[in-house]
Amino acid sequence: MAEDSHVSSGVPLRDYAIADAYRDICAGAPPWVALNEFQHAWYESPAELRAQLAAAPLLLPPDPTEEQWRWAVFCAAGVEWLCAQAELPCPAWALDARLQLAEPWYDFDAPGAHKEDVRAYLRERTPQPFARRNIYCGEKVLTDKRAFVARRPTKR
Amino acid sequence: MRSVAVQQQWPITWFNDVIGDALRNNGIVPQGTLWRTYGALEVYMPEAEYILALKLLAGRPQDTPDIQALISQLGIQTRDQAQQALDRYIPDRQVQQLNQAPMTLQRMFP
Repeated sequence: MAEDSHVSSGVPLRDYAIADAYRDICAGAPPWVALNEFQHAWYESPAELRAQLAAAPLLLPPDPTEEQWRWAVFCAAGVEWLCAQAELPCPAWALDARLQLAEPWYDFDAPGAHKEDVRAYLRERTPQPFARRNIYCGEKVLTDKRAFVARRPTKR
Repeated sequence: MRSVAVQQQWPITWFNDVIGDALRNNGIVPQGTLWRTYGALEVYMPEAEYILALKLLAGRPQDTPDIQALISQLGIQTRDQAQQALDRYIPDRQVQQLNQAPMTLQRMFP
């Protein structure tokens, strides 16, 4: 689908920045609910509005829990990756070198995340903005669901 | 869809309909159960097992909580049982492989 067809009126369906998503995660929202809302806003918006959705830095709690810190690092990595995909400059806050995990975080602690073959697969497939911050989540993270078309065998 | 988008000043993609052809081309789409009718519009509810198969095919990190909930709801206890659900709706193992479904199954079971 052409990029222009994403927007009919220039008005995004949602105005929900990454800082909003992180605020809601810290307030107890399921992380993927908040992040999906941000993703929808991002992919529904033209480039100039996408930059606005990424611009505001996260407001971290004074003493973040491990979970809150992990999601803050994920949000920074996600913004860097999304901006690179959209050929937008990454906001400085997301490149703060402190936003990094001390220990690797594999697959958001999915049931099989401890398996070595899963970990090797994720290390191989995870985009650099996440892997550099010690998050190993594979290549399907934060992708546009409208672009999802199941891969099919090539006909000979 | 276009009419609603214009009326509400929403993006034309407010409703994701691009997935339909991909699903029909890659597997078996069940009839589902009629849930609501709005004039000419009929809304069908698919079986939970079909949603599980699609989630396993997509295999994004955000699908993990949904997959876990569906596995629990359907009483699935082993990877083989989940594989059977996937095979029922997406029978082409090459399609499964190309979409990394075997790795998604590996990720979903301890």
